[in-house]
Amino acid sequence: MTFEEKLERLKKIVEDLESPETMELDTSLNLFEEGVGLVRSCKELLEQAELRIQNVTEQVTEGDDSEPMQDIENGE
Amino acid sequence: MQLEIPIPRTIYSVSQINNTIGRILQQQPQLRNVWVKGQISNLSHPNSGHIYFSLKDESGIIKGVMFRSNASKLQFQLRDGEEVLVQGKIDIYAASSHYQININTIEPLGEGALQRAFDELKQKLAEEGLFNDVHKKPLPRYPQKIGVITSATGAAIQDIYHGIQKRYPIAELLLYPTLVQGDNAPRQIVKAIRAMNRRKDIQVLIVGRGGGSIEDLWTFNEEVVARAIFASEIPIISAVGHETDFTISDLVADHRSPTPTAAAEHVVPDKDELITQLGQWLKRLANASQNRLGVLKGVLTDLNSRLSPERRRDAINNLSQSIDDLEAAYQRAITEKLKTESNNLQAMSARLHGVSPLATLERGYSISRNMSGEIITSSSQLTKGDELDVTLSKGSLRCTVDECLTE
Repeated sequence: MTFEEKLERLKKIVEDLESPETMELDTSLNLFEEGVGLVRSCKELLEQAELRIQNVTEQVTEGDDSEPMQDIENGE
Repeated sequence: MQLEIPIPRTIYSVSQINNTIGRILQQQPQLRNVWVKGQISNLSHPNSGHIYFSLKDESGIIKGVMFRSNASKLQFQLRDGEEVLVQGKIDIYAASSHYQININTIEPLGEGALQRAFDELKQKLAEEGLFNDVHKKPLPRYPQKIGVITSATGAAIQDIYHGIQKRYPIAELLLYPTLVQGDNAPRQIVKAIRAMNRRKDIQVLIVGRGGGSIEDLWTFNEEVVARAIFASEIPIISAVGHETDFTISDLVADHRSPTPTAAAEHVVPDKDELITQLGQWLKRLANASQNRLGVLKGVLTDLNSRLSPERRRDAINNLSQSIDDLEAAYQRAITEKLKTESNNLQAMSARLHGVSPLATLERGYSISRNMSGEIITSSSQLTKGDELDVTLSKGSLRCTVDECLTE
């Protein structure tokens, strides 16, 4: 799961648990545990991550030099 | 009677004369690349796409032609009466036997020339709808891969890196280094935007540079750059370092940030806010579970009173087991939450300690209070024989006033 997906899942769990509609006990217990796990993992990610940076010129220039500049100057 | 003496004659055709003069002109290297300043007159734009006009000053005039291949690259509109600087070569136009400037480039001269080129491009692109809100793409809330198009050695990439590292370090930056000023910069930036779009893994692009003079920033007013930004399928944040003026890139981009640092702050969410949000969700998880626990205990009591002894035992066993599980999970959550909050508390108490009166007392100061607990700041608040309490860093003293001294 991406970080964003984790946040969305967590939000959904909180809302489900708060919903007055009756829910199976097992389900709510599992949801609760999953929610706590998500909070923990999101928090660890945020606190421990180091921003990565990479230079992408080499990976993307291949085949690009042959592109005539004329196209650009004439617009799309 | 007159005697006709034959004079030896060389007879040229018109074309031969023109060719000869043309050759003489071509043999002058200084005429093959000239810069000429003058005022435009007799401007004409025929359908061929070539541009014809004359350049004149107070006492003279010279014809000029700009052929379509060069004319199509002009960034601004020519007008009669305007001062310009043209670059080209002197050649001859045989059909009317006049010499002329064959023009490669034209630069506007005089006050606000760049501004005019800017205004004209802005108007042109606005009319085409390139700045319309309907084309503005929404930025992702939690971008994973952020493309950056700027100089590898400028301040902008540093500012962007540090800004994002501080706020949202789980992202990844992909830098496509380019020049950000000079003649080659627009071409490189266009190429970079296209290359970034060919990757399918980038959610948002930052294109920009640090501050500079209007000439330094001109790359971001070039039409090719504007069109490449417009054509990008990836949403683009324009981040050209200048607080007040807008560049064309700013207008066409999906979002405009006044500096690279501001772009970093806009492109990602803030870590501290996210951690606060996570804490709130944890609290709500715990509360919701606690409420459920209460409900379940109620059900248990209810069952206890209603069911037959055998069924009651089974049901109660099942429910008790579930409640135990829920309680254990709840306890784990509370511990988790306390851990978060105790971290916050430690940080806060360290900060508070610096401004606490206790820290002052540790340096040897003390606080005196009268018997009503009021703090004594002047000897006039007491008279001989009064009692007072003196609080020290460790412990306190009960004292009696022997004498009140004024300052």
